[in-house]
Amino acid sequence: MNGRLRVGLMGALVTGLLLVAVVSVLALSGSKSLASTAVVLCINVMLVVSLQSFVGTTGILSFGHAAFMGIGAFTVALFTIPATLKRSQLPSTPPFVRDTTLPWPLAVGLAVLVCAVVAALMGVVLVRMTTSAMVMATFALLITAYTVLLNAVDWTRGSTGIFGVPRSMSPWIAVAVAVVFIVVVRVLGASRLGLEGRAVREDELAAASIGIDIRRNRYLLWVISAALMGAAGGIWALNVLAFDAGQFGFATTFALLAMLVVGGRESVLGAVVGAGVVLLVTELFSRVEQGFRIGGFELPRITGTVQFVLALLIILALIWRPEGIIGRAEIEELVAPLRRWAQGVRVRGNATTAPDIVAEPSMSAGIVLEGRGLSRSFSGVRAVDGIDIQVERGEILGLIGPNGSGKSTLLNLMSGVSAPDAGDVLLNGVVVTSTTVHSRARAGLGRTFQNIRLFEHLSVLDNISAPPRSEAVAGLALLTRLNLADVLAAEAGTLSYGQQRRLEIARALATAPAVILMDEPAAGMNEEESDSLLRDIRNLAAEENCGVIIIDHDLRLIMRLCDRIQVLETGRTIAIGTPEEIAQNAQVRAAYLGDPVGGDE
Amino acid sequence: MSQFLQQLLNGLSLGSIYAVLSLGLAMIYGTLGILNFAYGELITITGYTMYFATQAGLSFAAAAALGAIAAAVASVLMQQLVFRPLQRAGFVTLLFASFALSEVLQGVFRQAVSPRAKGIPLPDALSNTIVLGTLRISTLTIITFVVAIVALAVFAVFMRRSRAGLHMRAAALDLTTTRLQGVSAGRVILLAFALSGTLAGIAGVLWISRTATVTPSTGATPILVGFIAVVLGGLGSTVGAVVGGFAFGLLEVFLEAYLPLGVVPFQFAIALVAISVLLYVRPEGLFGKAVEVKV
Repeated sequence: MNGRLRVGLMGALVTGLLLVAVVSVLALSGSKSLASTAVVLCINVMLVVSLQSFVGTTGILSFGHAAFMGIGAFTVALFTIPATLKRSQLPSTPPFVRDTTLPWPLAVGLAVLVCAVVAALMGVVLVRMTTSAMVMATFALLITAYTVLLNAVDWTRGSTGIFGVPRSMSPWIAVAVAVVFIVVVRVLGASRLGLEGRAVREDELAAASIGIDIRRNRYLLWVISAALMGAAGGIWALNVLAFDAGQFGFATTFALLAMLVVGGRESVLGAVVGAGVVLLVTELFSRVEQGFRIGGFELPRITGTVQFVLALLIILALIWRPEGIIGRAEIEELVAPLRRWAQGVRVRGNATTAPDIVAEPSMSAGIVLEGRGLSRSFSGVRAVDGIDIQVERGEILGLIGPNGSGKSTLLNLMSGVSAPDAGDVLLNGVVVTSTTVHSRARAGLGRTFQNIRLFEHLSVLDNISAPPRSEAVAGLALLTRLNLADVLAAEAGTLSYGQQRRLEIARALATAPAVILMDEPAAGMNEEESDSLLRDIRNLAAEENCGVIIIDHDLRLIMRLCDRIQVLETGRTIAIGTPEEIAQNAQVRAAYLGDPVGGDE
Repeated sequence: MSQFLQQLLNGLSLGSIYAVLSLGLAMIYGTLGILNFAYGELITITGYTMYFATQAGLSFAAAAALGAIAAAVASVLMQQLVFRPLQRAGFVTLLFASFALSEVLQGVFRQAVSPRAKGIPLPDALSNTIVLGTLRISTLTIITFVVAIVALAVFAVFMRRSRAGLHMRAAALDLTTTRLQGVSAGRVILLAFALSGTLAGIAGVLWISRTATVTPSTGATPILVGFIAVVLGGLGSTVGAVVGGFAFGLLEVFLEAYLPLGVVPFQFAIALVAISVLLYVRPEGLFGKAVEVKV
């Protein structure tokens, strides 16, 4: 088991223990109403962590999860209500439904299945959309499921509901199941799928550029999270002993999201805390809602108070702490002894699961990346106009030219960020012109960006572990080599500028690239920093036998670093050759250098 | 045929309300990237203003004008009190804050007015019917359509011809650069919310005139329709929002008219599934642009 999973599991167990403690106090208090509050707390935890496994991981707000809760609750109610009661309540359902009664764990399993199927169908459309459109599509799902459940009266009896679910929940069963949910969600979060999901959340383009298939990742997380939500909804039905189609609309969605956002949506601990806080507020104010006496005063019944107070608290909480009470941290990041332990496990896990050498450098020579007659126009302007470009393994090719000469566009065409109007891109001799960014990354094309694109809120170690091919590479060795070994646990966004640049290069190398494209890696660096970067790049090209295409405005650096230089102007190649040849080329000097080499621009 | 024409007119009239509604929603998204969930409550506010104004003895026209103004003011207040303190928060936080705001407002309506529906007396002129051959068209249908089209036209002219409109369009393209050109971001944002609120107010008057009642949750259906129309048309495109609004209005009316009776309760679900299929083919919506990231 890798270090990430072990830490996730341990964190889940500690979080679970906290919940067990709270539930024990409530259940052993002797008060019946507190014991039933404990069950509600556990079920809320199940619901919210299920929601968290999608919303927290992907960063996409889903209004649709209440629909899965409803579908799960309906499925469980339908198959646990005794046949006699079903025949009288739902006379027009098919006999196999009417006469089948399942034990509750099986019914919950069925709910998981049904929700997974619905989510799988819907997910096909969903993952194609942009993030904002996705949010609204989940909203449409909520409304669709709500109207269908409410109007399919032969099956659900609409707002009358179906009842007679046998009693089976106790605080102890509920808390056991809730702990299972916490473990599943934490392990999912710590798994490759979860890590990749968080990487996508932080930066979609960077995630694609290291080989993550964004649609596939979102699809799987969506289906798994929906299935979990179905199970949680089913257990919810086991506790309320009935199903009422009217309950899975706005109010429930709102309560669920409130728990998640108030607690901290990017953390499972946050979800659990949020569930607790919202339940506490709900319990307090539902007393107010019933009307009660303070001293001699009789307070009137005020309907809708709970919802209102909750909403108000949420707005204030968001203004106070936009990331929620807990923020992004999990329990092992908050408690110091756990934090030290977790870091040790992560480092050891990372060191042992991977060999201590960087992936077997391929000894093959020859052209690794090639562009043939590439052209691309933007609203009439020919940014790239028939450029040929080649780079061999182990070779460093410098790409220079004035602003607007098409350098960055050329890199985007080769990495797959944009498609050429004409021409072809070949990676290891295979035409990849119409393939996606992530598939090119998997085929060995790494890149860094002009304005650094790290996964800012992930740790240095997670940044380096995010590439799907990183398991084959000794991430730790890479970090040591790029002088980042002592900031492993730091959030990438908190690093210094030079460290961020180096981390981005390390991340690209963790994809085990055959060729790497660097867009102004030395931008904003002082001379000392750029000299050390230059050494790093040269070593990497030599040791990993990796081709490098590098754009930079720092001619001093380019001249010293590159084996060959290609000069662009207004989308065309005007010169190509060794640094000496380029320095002597009259056309280049006229168009670009202005005066002999040695001046900085 | 006449049945078809009849439904076409009804669909266009309903669609024109949706178009105005969606336009106001799309504007805020376009300029600020906020999906304002509490936009529906602006319609409710219009409704309650009209209710109290008519109760106070004002004419329907005066009540309608007040209603639209109230929505514009409320929209600006929302920005000042909720969105501004959150201006550095992300998309999800803002969306959720607006969701919470919508709940708070509904709570206020329940406490301050009543959880029950309030009726708004409509002038007789609105309930007349004109008979044209086999067509029966209510004056409300026609007035709705005319008002909505005029509102859309005025908006289009404002955005294209006025200096403030130019600033708004620039801000929608790139707020930071627009600020660098010396345009005050605060004023553009304020104007965006005021305009969005005005559009909500106009749509609100038309919507309330159809239902003649207002409840604390009156805003729920309009906001839903608005969201769908905006996605259908293409997020961030104002033309798309208008077309999306018309399309959804027509879809709703025709489904209601031609679906078998037993299926009518599911019309909303069917419309959404139809739209999902369309979005599968064109994920960016009818008028949205496929995104190309600049790196």
